[in-house]
Amino acid sequence: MSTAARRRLMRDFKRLQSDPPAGISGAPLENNILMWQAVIFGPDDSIWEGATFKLSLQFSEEYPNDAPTVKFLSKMFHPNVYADGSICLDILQNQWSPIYDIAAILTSIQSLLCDPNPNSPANSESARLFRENKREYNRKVKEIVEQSWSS
Amino acid sequence: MTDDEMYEDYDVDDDSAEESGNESLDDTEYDDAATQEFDFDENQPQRSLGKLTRQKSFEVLNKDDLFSESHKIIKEVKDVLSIPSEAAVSTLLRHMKWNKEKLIERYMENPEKLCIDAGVPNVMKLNATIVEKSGNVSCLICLEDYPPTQTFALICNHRYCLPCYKNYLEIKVSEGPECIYTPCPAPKCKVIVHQDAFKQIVSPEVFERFNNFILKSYVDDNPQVKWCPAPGCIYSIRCDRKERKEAVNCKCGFQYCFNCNDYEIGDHMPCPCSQVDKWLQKASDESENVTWMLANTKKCPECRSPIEKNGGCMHMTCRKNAGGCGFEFCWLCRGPWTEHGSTTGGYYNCNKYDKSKAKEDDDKAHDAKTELEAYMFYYHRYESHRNAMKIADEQRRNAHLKEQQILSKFDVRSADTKFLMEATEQLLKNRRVLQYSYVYGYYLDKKSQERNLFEYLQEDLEKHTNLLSTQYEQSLDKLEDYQAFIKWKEQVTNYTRITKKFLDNFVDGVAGGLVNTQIN
Repeated sequence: MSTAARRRLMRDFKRLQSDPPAGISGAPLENNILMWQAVIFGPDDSIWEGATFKLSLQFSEEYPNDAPTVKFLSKMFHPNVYADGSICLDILQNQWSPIYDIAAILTSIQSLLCDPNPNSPANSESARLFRENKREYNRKVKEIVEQSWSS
Repeated sequence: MTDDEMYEDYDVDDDSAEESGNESLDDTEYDDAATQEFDFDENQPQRSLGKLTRQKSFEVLNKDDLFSESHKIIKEVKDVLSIPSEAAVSTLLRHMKWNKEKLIERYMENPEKLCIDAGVPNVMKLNATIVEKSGNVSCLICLEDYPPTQTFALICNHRYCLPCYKNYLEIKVSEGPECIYTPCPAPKCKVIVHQDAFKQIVSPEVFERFNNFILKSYVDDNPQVKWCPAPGCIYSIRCDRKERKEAVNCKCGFQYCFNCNDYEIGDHMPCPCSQVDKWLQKASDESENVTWMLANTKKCPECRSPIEKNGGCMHMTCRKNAGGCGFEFCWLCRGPWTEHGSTTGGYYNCNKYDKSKAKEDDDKAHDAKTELEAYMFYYHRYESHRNAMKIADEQRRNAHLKEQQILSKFDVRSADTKFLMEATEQLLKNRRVLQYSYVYGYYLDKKSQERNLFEYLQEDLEKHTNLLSTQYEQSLDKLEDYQAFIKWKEQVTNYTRITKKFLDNFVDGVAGGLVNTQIN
């Protein structure tokens, strides 16, 4: 079945394959183009270096007018990621634009790793450490990075 | 009121000399009229209800009225600022909450900044022109190629295909009132999609909804116009006077206080808004529970837990299993029970006058109990009339059923059943005034002279309203023949007239200040 959303996702997929941005990859599930899995690598020269985080992206038939639901599948410790893996990011909520594609979403999440917004915390413990105790924050992040290799 | 006056009166908030001049003139006229007719102190919080039908300082607006009013403002701003496009002015006005004067002022100060903030970066040119290119344009939403003629771009030149644009705009409209501030689909782009673009791109039905949302914003942003609060009513009402005391009548039949603008409250004549506010607050307030406790409980002398005595003798035990301390005491004097016994001069030897703390507590409890009883009395009557009003409203709506029964049973013309409607409408009015008269009565000084007159008028009104109600509810089966019907009809008609008279007396009496009423 070919709908506007599915056609657009096929094009997203082709673009992602022919011109992949650094440190991200993604593909739809074999039998369902509305359901994607993606991997984000932690940016080099940052505390997140070496991390390989798995994510799921669930699109609706309204895509690209509606944002997909994006969740971390790997365990996370980040001020803007909830315990269940969902992400508090403006472009996935009220700042969504139909111009964004999968590559744009994943690069935004990648840059969110090093650039958290502790003022709208989804994980209050992480936000608190980020503000008050960088050492402990960095240590916890390192743990999560190491855990990401095995899961 | 002519159109011009109507327009001039728009926005009392504005502090320009011209506007405030208008407003004060209006005030003078109003007060003069009031003084001539009733000669009461201007500082009285009450105004006459009798004047209601004559004093038209409000008007009911339908959708067409709103449309032509908002359009008039758009046209005027367009002329003053020499902006060629109405769509651009419409966006600017919405950005400025429909405040014409403020818009003109801000535009004069710094047009570039205002226009950028409002999402209309160029009022002279709203859309981007298609640059002659060989070949197709790639739409960044669906990633497909389209001939330039099937694409659209606002002045920001973010160009997308028409099907994608249509989809985008229609989804925004389906999401609700915020659609009137829809920005260009491009990320972070602040240019607002104007009315003409909507018209050009979306279906006529969706465009209609979009226009309705514009009218909604016109009403919502305008302090002088409010939607009628009756469920499902499509009208709105403009009222020029901020502190209007009389009720307004919507075309849907609902009569209500413009300030309170609440369906549940409705028209609260003869009370001022502040009194109704206080009353409703009191009714829902936790503090009433405190009053009850004060009136009906005593405190354990040891641990101060409140105790209600619901039977038994005066030997009280502050029960540990109810959260108490186990202390045993006498309910009358609140002294320890160990001092009550055969060895201390008898079990109830405490009947001596005592100025102790206990006595003080008793006085407080007594006052609270009296106050609570008074409140319960007024509240009960308020509630009863409120319920009776709901019944009267139902009777009014079902009057046509009774009419049908009569028409089928007796050989009468439909004009002969008009009295049914009149009676139910009168009942409804009376019940509403009676309901709030008990709020007014509660706050009226308990010992004042005015109280006598008030209660006298209230009693008359109440008595005759109840009689009318009984008359109206008479079962049709009991009417044997045409003669009996005519007799019943005359009775009901008569009582309708009588209660109208008593209602007018009551309302005029209160409006006249019951001579020198003190309201606190």
